Amino acid sequence: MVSALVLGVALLAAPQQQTDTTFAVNAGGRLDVDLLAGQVRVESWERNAVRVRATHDGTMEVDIRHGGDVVRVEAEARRGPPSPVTFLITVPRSYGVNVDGLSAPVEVHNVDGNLAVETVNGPVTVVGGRGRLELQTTNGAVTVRGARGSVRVGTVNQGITLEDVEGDVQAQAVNGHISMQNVRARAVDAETVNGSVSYRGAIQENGRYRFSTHNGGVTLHVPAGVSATFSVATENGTFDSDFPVQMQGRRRGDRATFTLGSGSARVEMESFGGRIELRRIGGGQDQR
Amino acid sequence: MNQDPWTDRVSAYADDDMEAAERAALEAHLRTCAACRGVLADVRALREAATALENPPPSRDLWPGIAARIREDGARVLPFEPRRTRWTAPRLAAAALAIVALGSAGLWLTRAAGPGPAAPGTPGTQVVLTAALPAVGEQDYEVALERLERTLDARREGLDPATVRVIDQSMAIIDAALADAERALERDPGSAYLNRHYDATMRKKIDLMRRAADATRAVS
Repeated sequence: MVSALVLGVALLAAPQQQTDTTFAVNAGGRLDVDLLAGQVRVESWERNAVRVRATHDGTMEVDIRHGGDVVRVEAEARRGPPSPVTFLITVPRSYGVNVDGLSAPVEVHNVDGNLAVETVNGPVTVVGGRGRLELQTTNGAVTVRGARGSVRVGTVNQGITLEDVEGDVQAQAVNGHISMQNVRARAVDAETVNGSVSYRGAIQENGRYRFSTHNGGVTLHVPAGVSATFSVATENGTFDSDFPVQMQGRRRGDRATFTLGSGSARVEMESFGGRIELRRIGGGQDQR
Repeated sequence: MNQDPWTDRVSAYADDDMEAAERAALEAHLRTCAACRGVLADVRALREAATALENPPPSRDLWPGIAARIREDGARVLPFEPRRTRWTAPRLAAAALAIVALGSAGLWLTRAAGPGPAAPGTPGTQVVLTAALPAVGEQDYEVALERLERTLDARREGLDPATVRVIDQSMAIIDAALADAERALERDPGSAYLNRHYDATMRKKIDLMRRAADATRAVS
């Protein structure tokens, strides 16, 4: 049983207080951050150390504990309602990060361990990294750029943007668009209720892809040599394709299928009431 | 995301809603994947349960005890509308997942319209125990939803107004989408797409409610 070491505690009342502490850790550990309000930014460096900088008022207590391979940072109110705390935390690149917030925008940059972020109010942004991403917010956008690892993201209100992502994707929204650019994944499942879904990227052999919305369009930009079996379903919408497709196979309900190339991948495109488009990258209708 | 990509196709396979080439590929996969064989067995059990809903009532009426337990919980027992949609395997699976998501445990109960003894206060409603299914919930799907809605209503004061507004707006969007899907299903109840779309949208509603409940717990 590793005893916890309290490294920093609250500063006394003053309009704004600064906490700034650095301590050695082993590579490959995990940072846990828990706060109600404020914002969190996590960065990485090449040192086996963690630096915690926090800005807060005297009503808040910042508790930093390091035990085993886990660093736990919490912000709690000493008295009265919680006030915002701004965290800037630097960790070894190999670290994993968990952030649990209520009203807190969260950014994580270039951390290679697994990331789990959950907040209610505020956007979540991840840049770089090689671990598994699980990012959830209720009211805020989710943005992932340059990540190499599986991505599971969700928001209720506002959109999801994935750019230059290599890894399987699961993206869920309610009221917002889902935009995926330069994605390299063998499995993609993207679904929203009120918003469009767009995807530009490779369709890998034997991959599984699903793009679905209720109220909005679905647009796929795929390479000219794509090899996949496409399934298109809509109730009140339309379908248009840059590819000379012939709907083949049986129809059930309002679903139609067609195959390009050997058809080893499976691609499902669904919009209850919107326009479904299949575009060839570099083709006449291809617009970034 | 490490989920087997075939897992999501097992339900379509069980529904015979699959092209021949994909069917052959999945059958080959099933020969080597115990996990997918297990999913297939579960889905088939759910289909059998769906079939059972059309059968005569069970040997003993389970509703009185269930209704009593619900009343003990303080839940309001709603008069159910007659069933309008078929319990397809995907829909049953979605309902099972929903109840699992709601965190309840116990027996799987579902209801069916049609002949049979009516439950007290719920005309035209019949409760069927499908013992073959895994333990997923001691209440009906709709009752579970109703309870969660009441919980949220009671605790929403703990959330800031902006969050409440977002949740309400999002819930309205989902409800409108569900209404669209319901109307379409009335026109075309056999559409595999519409059934799946409805289920997916319903899952979103449940997920939103769960997230909202988590948020209220976080601030309480």
